This record gives sequence, C-alpha cells and structure tokens, in this order.
Amino acid sequence: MNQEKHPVTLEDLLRLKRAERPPAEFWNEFDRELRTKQLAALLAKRPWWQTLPITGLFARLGHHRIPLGAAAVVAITFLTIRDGAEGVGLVEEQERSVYAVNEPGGGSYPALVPTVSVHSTVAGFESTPIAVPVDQAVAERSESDDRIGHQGAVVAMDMPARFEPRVGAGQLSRMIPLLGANDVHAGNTRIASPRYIAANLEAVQTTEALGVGLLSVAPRQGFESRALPAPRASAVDPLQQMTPPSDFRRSRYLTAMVSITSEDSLDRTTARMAQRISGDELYEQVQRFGTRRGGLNVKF
Amino acid sequence: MHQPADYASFSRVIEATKVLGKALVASPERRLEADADVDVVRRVQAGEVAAFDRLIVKYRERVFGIVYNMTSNREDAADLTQDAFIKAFQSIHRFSGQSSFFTWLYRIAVNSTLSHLRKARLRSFFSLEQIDSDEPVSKEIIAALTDKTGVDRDSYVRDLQEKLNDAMQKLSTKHRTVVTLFEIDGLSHQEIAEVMDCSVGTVRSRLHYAKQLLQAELQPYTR
Repeated sequence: MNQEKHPVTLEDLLRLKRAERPPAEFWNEFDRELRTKQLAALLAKRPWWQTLPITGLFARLGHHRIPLGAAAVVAITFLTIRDGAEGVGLVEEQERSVYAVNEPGGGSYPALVPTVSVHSTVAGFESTPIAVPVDQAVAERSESDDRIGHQGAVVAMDMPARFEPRVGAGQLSRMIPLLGANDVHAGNTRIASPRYIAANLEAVQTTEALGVGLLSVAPRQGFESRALPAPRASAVDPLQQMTPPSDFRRSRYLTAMVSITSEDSLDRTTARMAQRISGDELYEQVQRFGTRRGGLNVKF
Repeated sequence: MHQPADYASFSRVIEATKVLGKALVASPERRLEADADVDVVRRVQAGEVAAFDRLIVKYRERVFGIVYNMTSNREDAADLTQDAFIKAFQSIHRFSGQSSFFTWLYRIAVNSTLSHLRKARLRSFFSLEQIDSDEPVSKEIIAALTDKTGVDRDSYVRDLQEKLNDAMQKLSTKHRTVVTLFEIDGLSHQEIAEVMDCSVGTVRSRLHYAKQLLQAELQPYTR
C-alpha cells in the first residue's frame, strides 16, 4: 500500500508533546510520595471554616451571584424608599395631631393644631400621654411650671403635651365632621362654628405660649440643654456691635475729601498746572479775556 | 494494490470531521468514563478511601501531562499533580456530580498550576522528557520530519523538542493551557470551557490566537 505522505502540520508537532512521558520508575516514586501526602492529609486537622457546611452553600450560591446581587440591590432600594415614605408620613402625622379643645359649654372637641412631639423621661419617671381638656391641661401645666420653678425638682411629665382626644359616645358625632367624615352621618352633620374656631386658635396660642414658657423658664435639662442656646451674660445685641460696611465706605470717602481740600495738596496741584503751561500759552489765554462796556469779553 | 489518488484527501476530510465533532461536544468515551467515575466517587464519599486509588491510577498520567506541558518541569509537575489529587481527596464530599469527575479534577489541577506559575514567574527551569518513539503516531511524524532532511534523528528530535518547548513558553499561561488541553489532552471546547470557567467562544479565540503564534514560531518544521 503506497500512501502519499501528507505534510507535517502544527497539530502533528503538538502531538509529539503528547508522547513526552516520564519513565516507569518515575511513577513508582510518584505513587509513594502521593501516598505519604494522602496519609498526612488524612491525619492533619482541617481548618474550622472548611468543615462548615455553609462553605458549600456559598460555593453553590456563587453560581447565581449576578441574580442574587441584583435582587439584593432591588430589596435595599425598596426598603430605603419605603422607610423614606414612612418618615414623611410620620412628620405629616405629627404636624396634624388631633387635640382636645374645651368648649365653653363644658364638652371637649378635637382641634387640628401643629405640634412638636417630644417625649422625655426624666429622673426615672416614665411619662404617659394624658387626655384632658386644654384648659385643664393648661392649668396642670402651670402647676407643673410652678413646681419646677419653686422646688427646682423635676417632675415626671409629658413635655409637648400630646393629648389624646377624650371622646365620649355623645361627642363622637361632633368629632366626625371635623375629621372629614361628613358622609358617614350626613343627616347629623354639624359645621364648626366661629366660636369653635376661635377656641381652637386660642388653644393653639396658649399651647405655643405654654411651650415657650416651659422651655425658657424651667431649668434646662436633657433635651432642652442640647436644643436651646445657653443664656448670654451680656444684654447687648450682637447686631448692634457690628459696623455695617456702608459706614466704612462713608468714612473712607470723607477722609479722601479732607485730604484733597487741604492747602498743601492745593498748592501742589497749582504748581503742577503752572509747570505744564508755557509762557506764550499763558499770555495768549490772558489776552482772550477782557472787559468791554462793563461786561466780560472772551476771544475765541 | 493501488488505491485512488484522492484517498488521502478523503481520509483527511473524515479525520477533520471527527476532530471538529470532538471539539464541539464531549466524546462518547468521555461520557462513559464520567459515568463510571460517578460510582467510584460515591464510594469514596461513603467512606471507602481505597476506592480513590482507582481514580489516581486512572488519571495520574493525564493530569501530569497537562501540568507538565504547562510548566515544562518534571518536579514541579509531579508536585502539582500530587497536590491536585490531595485537594480532590479532601474536597470530594463537595463534589455534587454537576460536572464529570475528570473535569472537576482538571479544574483543580489547572488552577493550582496557574497559581504556581504566577508565583514562580521569574524562576523557571525547564526539563524535557523523552519522546516515546515506540508510539506509532510519534514514530510516523518523526519519520516524516527526518526522512527528507537526512539528519541524525535523535539530535533532530531533541532540537525539535526544545523549539516546541520555547514556542509553548512564549504563550501566556491561559493560551498555553488551552493549547495543552485541546491539542495534547484532546478535550473538547466545551470541556475546556468548564475546566477554565470561561465561555466556549473565549476558548476558541484563545486557541486560534495561540495557534497563530505557534505556527509562526514553528514554521521551519511544518512543511
């Protein structure tokens, strides 16, 4: 059989590498060393992290790292957005709290007023929200202020006076219209009278004044000491100690005018002008002026 | 008895088709091997340590061949092959059978070798093994190379070995690994992609680039 010889290719040359083999004795030595290493590996104590089954879990999860990472990013984004929305809702809720306002007739009605919600627990006493009519609350507050101011001791109290509405069975129908549920009892709907609005406004003003009084009169402790600035020793208004820039500018201009109008500088200016004008020019300029028929004559 | 003149070209086409098919998917022999390995691995996982020796005897020469052609050093190749088997033995409880055992073992060996080559980049000592001249394929190739030139066969083969080794060492480690796994060990593109943890396209690209470089280096020997 006479076959045509094909040229030697790169693959043929690389196939020669496949034929590079160590002698048989090499494998005897190889097996002996491998056996020794294998026994050593069996006896060697493995690190604790390799014995954990969670290592295999991570290895398995590693195959899905891209979808897992994307899911984690989406979850974090969702939680961040949701927490942000809840925070905004809390602020809005704090700004529109329902307060009980005392009616001159004797009952209490809810009122929508802006509040600052601060709960403080002082000296081991835990404050609890209370539900009282505003005038009663104001009276109690005044007593509390007196106690604080006279005794110098701290009495357990709820700082911003977050009042829970005390609602009886008969007052519920009067609360509903103010809460915006007019369609529930359409027949018994009552609209807030100007008297109630005035009462609400008065209650708000009283509450604000009460808050300012509490924060300014009582000895500052806890939140107050951090939130409010310490009283200044001097009674001078800091703005009055500052000089406005316009005063600086005005004084600079006045100084410059004084220096210009001084005699010394005036003499120097006249001498400088006289040096610049030659004698002919000066004579010519003088000739142009004259008097004629009782008037001033100027030649051009 | 004379055969038609185009018999050689026809047989070359058949061989090229087989090579192409082997390159794309794993051969049936490999699949049978993989199925047989699963039973042995299960026994080792069940506590039969002696069963692992069968896997060592079966794969030690192939793993050594890969590591040797990547490092071109016998001692390093022996150490790295032993380490690969030890690592496989220690971690065999983690082998879940998603890939074949030899792919998993190759991956351990290749990663260990690449790590070793990164560390020992500056100190490289090469040692060349003897080409088995009794093997029919190598015998035929050597005969084809030396018949026309008429030079001393042993010295010519030695020069060729050195030239081949130099050309392989000029490749980057990843290109060298791909050439070793494909041309010398005979793995398919898919299997190489699994071993090297990359795409099949990357394997093909690396193989093409590496062959271009090798072709330029070994041009005097290819005719």
